[in-house]
Amino acid sequence: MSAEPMIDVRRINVTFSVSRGFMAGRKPLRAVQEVDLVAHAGETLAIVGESGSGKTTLANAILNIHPPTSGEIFLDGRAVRSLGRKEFARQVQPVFQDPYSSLNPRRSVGATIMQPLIVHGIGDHVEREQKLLRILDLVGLPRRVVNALPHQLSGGQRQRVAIARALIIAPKLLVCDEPTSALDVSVQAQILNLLQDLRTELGLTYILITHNLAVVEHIASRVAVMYLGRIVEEASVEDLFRAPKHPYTIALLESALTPDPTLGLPDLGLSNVFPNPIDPPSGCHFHPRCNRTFAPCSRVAPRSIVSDGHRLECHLYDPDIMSAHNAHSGDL
Amino acid sequence: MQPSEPIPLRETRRRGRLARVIVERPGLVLGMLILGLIVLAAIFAPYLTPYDPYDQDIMSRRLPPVWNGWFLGDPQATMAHPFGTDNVGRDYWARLVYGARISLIVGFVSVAISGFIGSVVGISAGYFGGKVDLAANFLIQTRLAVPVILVALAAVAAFGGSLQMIILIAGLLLWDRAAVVTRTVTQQIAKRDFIKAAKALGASDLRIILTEILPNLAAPLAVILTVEMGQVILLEASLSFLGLGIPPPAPSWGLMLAEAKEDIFFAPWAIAIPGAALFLLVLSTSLVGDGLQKSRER
Repeated sequence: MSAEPMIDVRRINVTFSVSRGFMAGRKPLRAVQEVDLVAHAGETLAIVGESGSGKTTLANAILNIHPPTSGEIFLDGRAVRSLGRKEFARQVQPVFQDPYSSLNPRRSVGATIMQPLIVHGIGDHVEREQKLLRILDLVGLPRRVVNALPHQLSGGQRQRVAIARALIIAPKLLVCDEPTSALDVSVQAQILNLLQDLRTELGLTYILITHNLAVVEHIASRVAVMYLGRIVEEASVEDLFRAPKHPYTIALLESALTPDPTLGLPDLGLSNVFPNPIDPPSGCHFHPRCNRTFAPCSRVAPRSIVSDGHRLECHLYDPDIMSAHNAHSGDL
Repeated sequence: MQPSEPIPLRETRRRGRLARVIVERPGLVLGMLILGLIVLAAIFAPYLTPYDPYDQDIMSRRLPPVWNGWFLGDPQATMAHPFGTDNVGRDYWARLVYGARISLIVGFVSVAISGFIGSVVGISAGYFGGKVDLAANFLIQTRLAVPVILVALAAVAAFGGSLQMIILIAGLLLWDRAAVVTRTVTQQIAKRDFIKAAKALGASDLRIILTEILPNLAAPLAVILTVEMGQVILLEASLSFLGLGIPPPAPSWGLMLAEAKEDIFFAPWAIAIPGAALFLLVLSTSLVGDGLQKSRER
């Protein structure tokens, strides 16, 4: 792992202005708040969290589709804002969740995969076709599909087409937003293994957005857990799965279903109400649902604590808050 | 579909397609057949009749069509003028096939103009959204508030009636439907991930509109424009009938109706024949539009 991170996300915020109805004025919705993230070359950084936690907004910000409202993203030490759109696009490409929506239904597979070369003006006709055939082999698609339209392919094949399109301009970083959740379970493993193989073969770096913890354990090297737009815990995969610290992460890991149906649904100790992101709870955003909440949680937002590459935002692990709290409760 | 199954290529799907279309979409096929015949008649008009549509023959005025001779025993009916003649002795069949040119030119050119304006307004509204959408909606609402016939009458009164004038009026006024439809469809397409993928690729907005959105708009646009063509043809006929469209002596179907209306009790065929032609032409465009719409829904 090199010292210089490939992508360095520094304190970015993405804020939407949300209309609350006729004459009610607009309110800011902070979909991504003060997010710090780094991914080093060759790493697979997973971002997990439930629906509405801001994962996809963060992905769009990293992809420069919807640039952050504030904060800065650096790619190899250069600010993304200062890079041209195409220059950035050559190095960072997306793979989306739904391959039924991410491919133009009117364009053949071959034309779809070659489109990036045309947009970027790479090669002539012959070279483009050579690259197309090479990439088809690489993602495991038969050559006869080049003339097919997307609706003639299966979900897994379509996702392979989407991966081929992303890879043909040889990017360094692939941002995969739920790359398998729209696929059949049997096909999910194929696509994940393909992504794994491509990473080692091409030396790619991944940012993997998912809510599927099994996927994370399978292919990620680092994990960031998102809750209401904030990264509440970040650690290496081994660390996080062995010794999760944040109550939310613990609940998330416990919520993964076991294959044994007699065990029933796991009891999380979480209230089921996901808070309204327009009107987030005071203090720690997680405190209304937390089973270990105590006095400071509703008043003070937790700060970020880092130890041994394990970063989290929780008062329970903040020595200053805990000592103050213990001293205070001792007085009573 | 399992990945191991052979993928049907486009070539193999084409086989037997025509036969299937005829069985499944008789309306579409009938409409295309009628429209095709009218277009051919308009193009090859000089080969279909020996007469000039402007040549008057005072000796043979208001001749009945030849079938009046067959069924009613009308002695005036003659094979020399199969559709009869009008009140100044011009051959009706010649006027009809040359008149098809006017209707079709008005139809195609106006629809091209209105389709272009409508697509530009609709696509930019649907793709950019926000303030562009507000502005486009204002334009569409304004256009809908304008009474087409009245504006057309005023424009013809001010600038004089001519073929170009009619085409321009219809083209500049009837783009609202194209705008509304392209706006809605563009909004739906713009939400999909392949647009996001194109943006992440660094493609420009113009490229995204031309290569990602436009191909997906072709089918709904074809539906709207064929339906719109019928409307435009009727508008031209209406204006010409009112004496505010194509100036005489051009063989416009609307003018033929207007010139025949005084003789309605003595030469009813003179009204019926251009009326039927107009009916067939508009019916065929509607059938084609309807057929395209249904093929799209499947």
